[in-house]
Amino acid sequence: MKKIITIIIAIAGIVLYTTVNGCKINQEIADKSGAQLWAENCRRCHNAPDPSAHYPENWVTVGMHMQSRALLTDRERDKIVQFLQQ
Amino acid sequence: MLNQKSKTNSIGDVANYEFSPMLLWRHGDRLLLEFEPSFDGSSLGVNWADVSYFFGKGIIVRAGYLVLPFGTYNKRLAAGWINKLAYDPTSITSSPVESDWGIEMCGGWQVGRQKVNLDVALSNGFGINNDGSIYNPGIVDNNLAKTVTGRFGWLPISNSSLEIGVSGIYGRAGMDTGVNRNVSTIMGAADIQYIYSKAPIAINIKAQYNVQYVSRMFYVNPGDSTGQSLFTYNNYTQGYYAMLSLRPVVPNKVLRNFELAGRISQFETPNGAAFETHIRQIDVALDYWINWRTVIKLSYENLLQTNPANAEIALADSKSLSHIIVVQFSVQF
Repeated sequence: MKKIITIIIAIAGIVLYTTVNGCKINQEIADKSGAQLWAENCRRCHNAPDPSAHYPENWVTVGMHMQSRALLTDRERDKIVQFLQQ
Repeated sequence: MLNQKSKTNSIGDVANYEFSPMLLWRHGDRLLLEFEPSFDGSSLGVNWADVSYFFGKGIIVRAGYLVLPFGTYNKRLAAGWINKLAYDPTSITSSPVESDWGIEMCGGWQVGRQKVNLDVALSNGFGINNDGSIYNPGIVDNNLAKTVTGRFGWLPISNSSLEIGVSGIYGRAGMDTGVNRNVSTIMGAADIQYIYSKAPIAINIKAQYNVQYVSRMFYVNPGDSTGQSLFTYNNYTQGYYAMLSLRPVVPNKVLRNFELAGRISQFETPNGAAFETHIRQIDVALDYWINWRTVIKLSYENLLQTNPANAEIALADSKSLSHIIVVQFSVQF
């Protein structure tokens, strides 16, 4: 069983690595604004936060926490944090 | 028909509260410490306490007392101000899968117009009680074996409105010595969440199905006072929850803050086990959002618990049905 799990994890890793490196991000996706990403991603779990809820510097910390929970991409996290800091 | 009926509820009780401050500390742009203690009026616990390092390219490595990546409820939806019902689903609260000591690697990536995410953890894992039920040993592990937990998530729609996930857990649960040393546990879960928002309505769907299997072993018969006779059963547990909420998307400032939520959850422990239980939980709530993170919930729960008779181990049957009405206030800050 351990061998099977190791093989599955290895295959999944290879597929994931190949897929991630083989696919260019769609231009429409890359052009999404922080406001759009904030609306799309926060509501996956909860209401979208009010930008005035934290000091601008604290949004960086919250953004890191949210990335680790919702598994946002780096690009999404950075754009959402920039939007919330404005 | 129920064998017995008893009314134990009363109006006017301020019965429960929970205070769970989430403490985050960041060092630079790569290191994050997360700590969430929890106090419910009688006991002080820790929901999670871990340190994360952000490698870049979406990869995060975490160590400490972490929430296992099994399904999405525990990690993303359990907070009182996120959960749209007053209580958590029985399929989640009855499961031994929660936080554990270990290390974890996770991340999310864009793949064309879609997104994928992967979360894998290596932790102390689970132990097994004499009756075959699973428990979480905590920081002092019951064996040298580690348990692997993983979840793969797929967001096929470019606006992230749909996420489908599959999770798995494998680990040895038996002690390092003794007849049950090779007993292992395998768990699986499938989860889905979908959100739709366009005037005049916002729809939110969340569901998770869990299965848990413990490999064959023999248990001491609790009906035998000598403790000599053994019995066995197919140690298979399953549970699920499915939630739907509706919220108006209208200009009216009062009306758009209401949300109606409903959820059904079921949890079934193994047939023939000494701890065999069947739980069905139905919840309905009318929520009013004071702001994005503050909510008042008027919630009703119908909870039916059945423990079937088992002649082999001299257990009588029992049933209980509870009707619970709760007004709950939740705030995040």
